[in-house]
Amino acid sequence: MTTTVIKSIKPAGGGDYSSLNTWESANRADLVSLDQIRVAEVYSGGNALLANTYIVLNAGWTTNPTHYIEIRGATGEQHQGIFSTSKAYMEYLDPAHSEIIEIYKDARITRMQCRSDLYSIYAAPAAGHEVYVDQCICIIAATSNLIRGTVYNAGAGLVTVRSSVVLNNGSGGGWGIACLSTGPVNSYGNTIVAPNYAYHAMAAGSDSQDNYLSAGTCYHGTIVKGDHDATSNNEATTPALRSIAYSTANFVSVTLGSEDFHLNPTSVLRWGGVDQAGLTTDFEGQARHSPPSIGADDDPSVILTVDSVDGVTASEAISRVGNIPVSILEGLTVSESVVRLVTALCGSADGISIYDSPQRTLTVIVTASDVTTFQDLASSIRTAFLGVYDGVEAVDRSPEPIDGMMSSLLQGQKPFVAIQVAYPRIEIRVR
Amino acid sequence: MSEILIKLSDDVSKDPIGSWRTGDIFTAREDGFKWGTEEVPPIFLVVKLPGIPLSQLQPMLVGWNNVDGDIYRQRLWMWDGEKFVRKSDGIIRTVGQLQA
Repeated sequence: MTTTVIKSIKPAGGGDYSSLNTWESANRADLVSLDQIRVAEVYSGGNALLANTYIVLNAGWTTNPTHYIEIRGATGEQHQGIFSTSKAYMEYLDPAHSEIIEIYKDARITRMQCRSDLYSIYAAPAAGHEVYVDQCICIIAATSNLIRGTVYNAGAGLVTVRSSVVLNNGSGGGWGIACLSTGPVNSYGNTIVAPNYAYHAMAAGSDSQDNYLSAGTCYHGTIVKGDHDATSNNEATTPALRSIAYSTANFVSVTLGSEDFHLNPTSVLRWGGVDQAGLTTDFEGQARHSPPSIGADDDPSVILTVDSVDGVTASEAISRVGNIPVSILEGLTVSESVVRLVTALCGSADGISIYDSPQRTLTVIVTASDVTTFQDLASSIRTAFLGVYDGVEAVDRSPEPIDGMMSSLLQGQKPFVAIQVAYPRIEIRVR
Repeated sequence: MSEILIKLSDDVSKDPIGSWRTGDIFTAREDGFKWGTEEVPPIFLVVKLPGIPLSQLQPMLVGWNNVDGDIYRQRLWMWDGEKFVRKSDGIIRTVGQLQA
């Protein structure tokens, strides 16, 4: 049975190693003979690379696709979708020469931030070897004036990039994901932004799906275009996914140096993709929706876990839920989560009551004083509980159809919608 | 006062690119830095340098690039590793740290 050997990399000190360089230097081994996977778990506290260096995964390592090297952000130290030096990262900025990592063996880079001026990740695996870049933020900085790929395959093996941000901010007309050798580079669920080519693949068989691409030329080479890719120009296969602006219409921020590729709730990219094998999480490690969003981010769904709600107003109930797993609320504080939840649910907490029963049935009752508000609230609740619900039985217990309730309201009566949800453990997924 | 972390043995490969050799100085830190628990002999050694400010050590941390700008060696300068290790071997094996 394959053993996974995990070592901590703490740039601020106190780990197994203080840098990736020392870890790599001391851990070179024949992983196939040892039947091992070797993992470097990177913590925050500074650059995981030593000054003026990059690491090379090559000589001294023997690997195969099931006995590989992995460099990943440690739990709780991983980026939250925005590049931040307060989270686990590796960086080498030098306009004259810099790349972060060269990979010639089987390796995985997971939940890391990688920023450089040349190649963010340079891979050249031999035929039969595989490199995976998962849930990473890979950036070529604006200080670069070189024509290079942010994630680049120069080998004959396979490179797969998934649920990652690939951002080339250089002024040299560079690329996003690229391969100019015989090995393909597959791209699934990435947000790729570059000045020249977003996806530049000269190797036959490079596969693409669920990506957002923005560049002067989005595709260049022999790429098998995914019919659920979206482009900033007119290159997308599907007409509805063409001319999707690289702007705040779709992303939280496109400001140079402070890009935030979380999707806006109204973006057409949201849930616009197609299920893809291996594409199970977004760039923050959150479970993908089915169908997934196009690009690195999926959401903005919010998952709320409620253990006890007993006849209080929604805002009171939510404020009392001290057991919201903040981690699944994208790192938001509880108060932020409350605001987001209520807003996402119906735009306002007014008019909503939640009742719990000993039979573990949650009933949400919506009342309102005017037709417009009532329709909006009722629609939101129905959608949230009946349309998007996964794995839990939800039944509409309203006393009369919605049209009838509208009539009641117009006649001065007080209608309501009651949705009952039977639950073993409530997990409410709200749009 | 500063501390430096040096390599006590060559990497498995003699490939110069990306390899660290005996005497190469990985990095320098302020006194009291908590080095990794595995950054110890026989692969690594911490050398304490009283009275030497960190800034004076920065030139020892530059790489050796070829004419194309590619890294040829991780470090241009090195501690005189062979002699150093030979002369201090007993201390290294028993203490794991040296004070210059």
